[in-house]
Amino acid sequence: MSQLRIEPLSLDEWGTALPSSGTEVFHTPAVLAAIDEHFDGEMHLFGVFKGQEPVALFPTFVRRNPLGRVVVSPPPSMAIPYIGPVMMPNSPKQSAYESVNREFADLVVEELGIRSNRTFVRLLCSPAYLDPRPFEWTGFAVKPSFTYRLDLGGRSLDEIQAQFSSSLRREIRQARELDITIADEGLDGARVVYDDVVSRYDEQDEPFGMPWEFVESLVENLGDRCRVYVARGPDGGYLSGMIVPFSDEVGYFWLGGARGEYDGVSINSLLHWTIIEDIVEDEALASVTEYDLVGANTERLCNYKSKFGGELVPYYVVESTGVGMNLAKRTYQLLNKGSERIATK
Amino acid sequence: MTIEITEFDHRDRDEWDTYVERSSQASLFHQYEALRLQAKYSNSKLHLLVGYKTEEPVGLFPVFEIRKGLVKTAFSPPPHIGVPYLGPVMLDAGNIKSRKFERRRNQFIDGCTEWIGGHIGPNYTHVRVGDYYTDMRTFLWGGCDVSPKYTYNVDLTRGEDDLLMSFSRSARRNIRDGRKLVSGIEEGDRDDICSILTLVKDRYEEQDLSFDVPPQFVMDLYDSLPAGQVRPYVFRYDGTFVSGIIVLQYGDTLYRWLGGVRPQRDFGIDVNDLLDWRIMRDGMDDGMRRYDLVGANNRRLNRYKSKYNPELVTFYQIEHGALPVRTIAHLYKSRLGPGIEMLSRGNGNGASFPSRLVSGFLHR
Repeated sequence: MSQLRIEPLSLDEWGTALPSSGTEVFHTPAVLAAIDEHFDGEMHLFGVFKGQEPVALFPTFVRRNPLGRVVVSPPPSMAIPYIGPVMMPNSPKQSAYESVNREFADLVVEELGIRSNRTFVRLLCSPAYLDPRPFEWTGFAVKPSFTYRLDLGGRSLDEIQAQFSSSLRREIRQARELDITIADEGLDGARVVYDDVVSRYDEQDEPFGMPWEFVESLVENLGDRCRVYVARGPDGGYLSGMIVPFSDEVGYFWLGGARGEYDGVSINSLLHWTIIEDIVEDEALASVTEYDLVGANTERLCNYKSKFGGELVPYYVVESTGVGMNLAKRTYQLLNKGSERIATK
Repeated sequence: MTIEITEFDHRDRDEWDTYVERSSQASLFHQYEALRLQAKYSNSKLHLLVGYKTEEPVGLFPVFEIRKGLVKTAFSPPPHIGVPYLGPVMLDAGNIKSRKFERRRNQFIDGCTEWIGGHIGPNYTHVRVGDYYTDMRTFLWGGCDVSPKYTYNVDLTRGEDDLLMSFSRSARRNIRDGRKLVSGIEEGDRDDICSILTLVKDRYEEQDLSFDVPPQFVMDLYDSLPAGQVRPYVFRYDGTFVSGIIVLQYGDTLYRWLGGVRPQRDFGIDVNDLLDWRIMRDGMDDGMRRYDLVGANNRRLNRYKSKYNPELVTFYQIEHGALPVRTIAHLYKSRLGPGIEMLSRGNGNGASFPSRLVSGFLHR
């Protein structure tokens, strides 16, 4: 007999229940509202409660098509690397975590009817959700993916740079010698960065499904929890830029860095370094201790990202299995063109 | 700089073992004697691959070749003998940067993959690595199927009192109430291994499961490995065997390998809690840092194991290629009952077959 119950939540209720630590920026009401506004389908937010106390949260996105139903978290084509469940059992013990996790998975599977073979499920779980076993036991497949995270807490800029590769340090040094300004240009900057990414995809004949309006909502909703770093040359011309949302603990290289060669020097390395400097030194970001390079799964991009000496952090993808799901999966993959697919150098 | 792959043979066993000692990733099962026995009890051909960078050994990869008719397979560890993890390990590299170490490891893996392709040409490859190896990208990019698997580790460094307090109420109560029984616990001998395995086999058969680990394999390990690596702990009452756990001790880790199943006689408390607690206390006295409960994949058994408040630890299973169903039937002929059913609801791409069949051990 289950002690827990599952309830749909409004965005406000979600915001009240969401813990301040151990979650991603993508779990915040600001980002969820932006997704909800632009996702072609329904957002369903769930809370799992023990009495009055929330012990798990789960944002889901549902779309119906003639072949069946798609239940995802996050939706495709929005460059959200991971979201998935938030676990917050009221005891630090492993057994308590496991019983909440087990019941949580049973409840969501039941509530969403996702055991059906006409429903395609894909959950990109955040790096904090390290125990997807209940989904495996329910018949889903679990595969690992990876991202790079730089631990910046309690370390000096010198110490951080010491773990960089020498070529990365050289690039930063060379870029600094050029007459470049980097500033947070807010929403206007975001538009320039977005257009740059779109044109980069066009050049490579890759489809880019993310609408500007979604980026606009996300940047606006996050307010000062999102910065748009734009690098300009001496004539004020745009060189490169990056949109960086922040959770209370992590800054994310979310979108941008599509190109950035200037005078034979990579501007993107200097952009990353400026972001890292802000995380370490800016009082407004005092609680932020990590920089997430968002994605370490595309081979040709990893050589660059690995130069930062970050930690390779796994996260798990939970997916439907079985015949009939392959087509749905391919469609999903086609739609899910994340920012990681663009060369960032 | 490439890494050159050399195959050792049994004449190089001493050199192999000195390399094993130089790797903090290596396990008891990487030692030559243990590998020889794994090959013997899985009817496979052992290949000892050593990677050299210039003259320096950098990595070890024991590979077991199993042929059935025209089908060639490569395993590490081999199937159905209860070895939880094996696969490639790197020799300790001092203070080199982690980026450099990763690059070296990827080169070593590339070299081994090429060697295995050229010398064995397997239709199917199956590797399970310990938790020290998490960067699975080179396998993912190479088209392998990578699945997370789980085990539990109890942290033995936190101090006896703290550790005990972290256990579930029932485990603490058993340990407290069982004080009058603990005099019946001792480290046993070769005969006790047999009693433990017989009890395990009986419990399995009650549940219509087959127990894969050949008892003689465990005995041979006990006889051949250095003293103190294979340790049967037993609980006797009035001099009669009641229950036991076979513990492996290597490096800074204790492994709860086999045993600890429900005994025939009921003492009102779970005597296996007493055995586990004694094992953990001995381990702490010996400076062991963790007690690996070996496996957290079975829903029902996890409830038992999680009472020691362990940390969930992920490790990876790597598979490449596919096998025709008939070959699987030959490879795993002794347990086709539930197996065939599981195979028939494969995931369509045919790339993997149920790990229950492969590991037996991990999924019970």
